[in-house]
Order: sequence, then structure tokens, then C-alpha cells
Amino acid sequence: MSAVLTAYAPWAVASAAITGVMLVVLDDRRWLTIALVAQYLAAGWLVADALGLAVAGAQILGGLLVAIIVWLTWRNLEAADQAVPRANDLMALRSFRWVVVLLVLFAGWGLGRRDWMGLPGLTSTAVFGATFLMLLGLVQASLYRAPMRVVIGVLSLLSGFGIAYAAVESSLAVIALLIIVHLGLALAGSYLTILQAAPSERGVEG
Amino acid sequence: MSAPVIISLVTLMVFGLGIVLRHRPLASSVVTASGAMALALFALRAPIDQPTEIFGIAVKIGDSFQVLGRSLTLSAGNRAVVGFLFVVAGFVFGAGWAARPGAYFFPAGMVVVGAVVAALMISPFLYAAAFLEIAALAGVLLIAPPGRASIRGSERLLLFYTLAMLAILVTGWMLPSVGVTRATPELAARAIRLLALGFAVLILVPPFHIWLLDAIEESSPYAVVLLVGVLQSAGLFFMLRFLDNYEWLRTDLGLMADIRLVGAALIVIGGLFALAERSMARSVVYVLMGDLGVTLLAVSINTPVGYQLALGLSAVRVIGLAVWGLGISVLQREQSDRKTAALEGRGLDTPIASAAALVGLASLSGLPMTAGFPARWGLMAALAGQAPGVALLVIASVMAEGLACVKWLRVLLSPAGPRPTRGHSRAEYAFLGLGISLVLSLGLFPQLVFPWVVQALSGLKNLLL
Repeated sequence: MSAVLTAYAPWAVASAAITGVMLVVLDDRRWLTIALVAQYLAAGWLVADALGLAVAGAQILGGLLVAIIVWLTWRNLEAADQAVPRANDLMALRSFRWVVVLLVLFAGWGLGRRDWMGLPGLTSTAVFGATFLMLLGLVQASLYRAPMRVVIGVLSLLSGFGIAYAAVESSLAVIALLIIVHLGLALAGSYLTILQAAPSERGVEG
Repeated sequence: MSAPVIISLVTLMVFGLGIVLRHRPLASSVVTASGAMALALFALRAPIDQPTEIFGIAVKIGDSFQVLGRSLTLSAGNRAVVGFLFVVAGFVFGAGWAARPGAYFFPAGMVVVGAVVAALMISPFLYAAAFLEIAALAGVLLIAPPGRASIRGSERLLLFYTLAMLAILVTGWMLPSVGVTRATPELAARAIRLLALGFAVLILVPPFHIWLLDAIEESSPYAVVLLVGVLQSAGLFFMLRFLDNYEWLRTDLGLMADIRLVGAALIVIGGLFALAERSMARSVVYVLMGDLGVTLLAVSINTPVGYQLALGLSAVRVIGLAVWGLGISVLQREQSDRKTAALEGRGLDTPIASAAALVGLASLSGLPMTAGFPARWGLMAALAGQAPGVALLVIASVMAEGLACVKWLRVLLSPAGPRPTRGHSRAEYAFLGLGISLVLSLGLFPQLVFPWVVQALSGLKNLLL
């Protein structure tokens, strides 16, 4: 099983990068949720390469719960589309998002080739996967203003870190804490999104 | 049963009661304040690892609890700090009903304090970073209550604390596993850079203070005060634990010089911006920055006295912040505009709350007769011999921030048109008066707080060598 995971790890890296790009570029909430699930699966694949399927399975399960929280939040806020940037937001320009994403991918490729992390036991596929997710997550968290988009960026950053950290630390306590942090972030994002949408929803009703 | 389990269960119980009573501020305040004070008493006085009798039943309270291969321990080294955090929480929760900081203030505040206490008790201590992240997550409920939410501040808080957690987790792994020492300068430099990033977030070194600027203006200042006071104190203590654990770090003269440089920069930036700000809340953020700068100067002395002064400053900072927060919350309750004009004349129609806000600010600035002054006096005495220029910088910081106090005094006492004001209840007067007295008493009798500081540092044995 381990050999299969390792052999197809480059596909997981490509999936991580593609889902990271989708999360930055797309606005459709359904596609964003699908991309988030796919990103957790790709990250889980790369973690499984280092820590085994059982631990990766727990992380993927945590990721699925996160995606459910995100989807339920968005589904309950049909009146106010919280995923779409406002017109005065720089990220409202789709061309700008593509330019940013391309720059980040180039930077990630360059960094990944240099093994910038320098962590022992980290495979090159894990370096690339972690780098793409961390950079794309950081960009999303920094440039978007909608709370759930910011939180999804932070979650991508954390998933990327999880891939790299799995190679050096196998403690169950840390993994459990990181899963709790993923869930806590999703709940915080959900709470802030509902809070931000509340006046506009009241406006629709009244 | 072990002490960490008792603390966790009581914290969860108080949190649950806080949720149930969230729409009854007075009941919620009484329950959470009593719970926090009981936990403080337990942390400071409980007979740990000694046979004792409770209601005729022989019990022995253990000091440690194992979870997933890691342990939570209430030891002699952290009892004083844990007790102090619960005392501060008890004081802040007790006066909280007067400030009306939001329905989730009491339960969420309890989770924040509980997570920070867990961060202080966890071993190996690098896992504390994850608990501080959990505290920040709960902190979102504090700074974003319904109707008065700081969304941008919350987003930034989450992003920054996640970055800090990642940086500290990696460093915590690197230091023991890769063999980072003075003999491996490249690895040491990388570890220090990551640590600097992590601690810059935790103790609010610019630009990682911007979440606070958003939060303190948009949300309830009282809730923000609890969050920032607890998180910053924990961050400083966490930093001291790193220095205590790694000899090569605390003997690195370059690192201490860098800490001194950052401290000096914070004093200059804090002093200038505190004077220039047109909002009192934002002005306090910069006074806080100057205060942090003074604390870093104390750390940079790298002697037991320096570390004691740093912890002492941290302790009185929380008290000054709480008193300011209570005063400004009462002042702001009748208005939404937080700028200069909104405070004009408030000292004449709401004198006690105005006095509390000013006394709290004066303590943060380190003015004589307030709680913030004795530690600064001690620091100046310690620095006068080895770095007189830096000692002058401390005086400059007190003067610049003192000018900011004078500016806000003038605003509060300047004549303004008549406006409807609501009288205070006796209990509000009592809490405001108690806060003012506490700040002034600690200014006159610093020995009330410094024995605690010495006890808190006793756990960091290497720093006392």
C-alpha cells in the first residue's frame, strides 16, 4: 500500500495545487466545497505517505467535517452570497486572481525545487505539496475579506504545514490538536460569516 | 484525581453555566468570577501530591494527567502563574457585568483562560502553541459578539495566531531533534528567525498588533482587554520558558541585543503614535506597545532581576488594562462614536468612569504613584549602570506616554454641550472605585505583587542562575 501511495504521490501534489488554485479563483460555493474536500484528500494522501493510512484517515475525516461545516454555513445564507468578493474588493477582478495564482505557482515551483524547508525525511513530493498549499492558503487568507474565504485560506495553510510536519513529528497528541484547530477554525469562520450576513438577511426579510 | 483534571472539569462546568446564563449578565458574572477565584485558590493552595482529608474522606490530588502520551502538570513552577491568571480572570469577570461586553463574554472568556492555563501546564511545553491557538479561536467570540463584531480583527487574529503556532511547532521540533546549538550557527539562526516570528505574534510586536487596532475600536474594549491581557502574558511567560530551557539561546549576546533593539523601537513607535492617535482606544494600543517595549528591555538585561521586572510589568499591565477597559466601557455605553469628540466633557458628567479610564492609562504609561511605575523605577536602576542610554529611553517612554495621558485628561475635562447621561448604580461605583484603588495601591505598595513574581519565576530555575 505504501509503495502505491509513494508511486502516485505526484498526482496528489498536482491535486493539491489544482484545488488550491480553485479555492482562490472560483466563487461558486458548491465548487469551493468540492475543492476543499479534494484538497483534504490530496493532503491526506501525502500525510499517509509519512504516517500511514490510519492517521491520514483521521485527518481526512476531520477535513470532511470541516467541509460539511463550510457547506452548511453557505447553504443557510442563500440571501447573501458570502463567497463572492464585493465590487470594491481587489479580489473581485478575476484576472487579478489568476495573475496572483500564477505568480504563486511559479514561486512555489522555485521554492520546492530548492527544498527550502530543509526538514530531514521530507520527500520532494511532500515539499512541493506543502509549499503550494501554504503559499496559496496564505494568499487567500491575506487578500480576501469575506470571513469564510479567509478561514479557508488559513485551513489550506494549515493543511500544507501538516504535510511537512508529518514527516518529522508522529505524535498523536499534535495530530489530534491540529484536527481540533481545523474544526475550530471552520466553526469560527462559520460564526463570523453568519454574523456578517445577519444585517443583510434582516434587510431581505424586512 | 489530578489537579489538571479538576481544573479542566471546573473550567468546563463554569463555561457551561456561563452559556446557560448568557442573557443574565449579573448572574453570569457572579458564577464565572466565583469559579475563576475558586480555581485560583485551588491552584495556589491545594495540597498537591500530599494525603489530605476532605469531609472526612482521605484523598490525594495528583499533579499530573496523561493524555495521548503527553502530560498536563500543575507543578511548583507554574502554580503561581496559573493562580495569577485565574485571579485576573476573576477580577475581570466580576466587574464584567458593569461593562456589558456581550452575551458570550463570560463563557468564551473562561475558555480563553482555560486554554491558556492548559498551555502553561502542558509538557513538553512546545505544545503550548496549539493551546494558544485554541485560546485565540475562543477569543473570536470575545471580539465578535453579535451586534458589535470586529470581523476584520477576528480574521487577522486567526491568521496571525495560526502563523505563530506553525512557527513555534517547527522550532519546538528543531531545537531538541536536529541538535541546534551555538555550534550550528546556520540552524540556530533559522530557529531564532522562526521563534522571533512566533513570539512577535504572541506578544503583539508590530505589524502583528493590527488585529488589536481593529478589535479595540469596533468591539467591546473590555472584552478585548481580557483577550489581549491573557494572551500577551502567556506569550511572555512562554518566551521566558524557551529562554530557561535552552542555554545557548539565553547566552546569545546577539539575541539579547536584538531584543533590546526591538524594545527600544517599540518605545519610540508606541510613544509617538499614542500621542498622535485621535481615538482613545487606539491610543491605548500604542501605550501598550510602549509598555511591551519596556518589558523587552527588562528581558534584555538577562539577569534574574531583569526577568522579575519583566514578569512584574506583565502582571501590572493586565491590572491597568482591566481598569482602563472598565472605565472606557462605562463611558462608551451611551455612544457609538469612539473618537476624541465623543469623549469631550465626559470627565465632568461621568467623573468616576473617566477617572478609571485615566488611571488605567496612567498605569500602562508607568506614571509615578500607579501600578506601572515601581517596575520601571527598578528597571531604570538596573540599567543605569550598564546602559545609561537605555535607561534614558525608559524615562522618555514614561514622559511620552504621560503626555498622551495629559492629552486625554484635557479631552475628558474640556467643556462640551449638554448631553443626556445615565447615572451609575452603587455596584458600578464600587467596581470602578475598587479598580482605581487597586492601581494606586500597587503603585504605593509594589510588595503586594512582587512576591508573586518571585514565586512565578521560581519554576524557571535556569533564569535565576
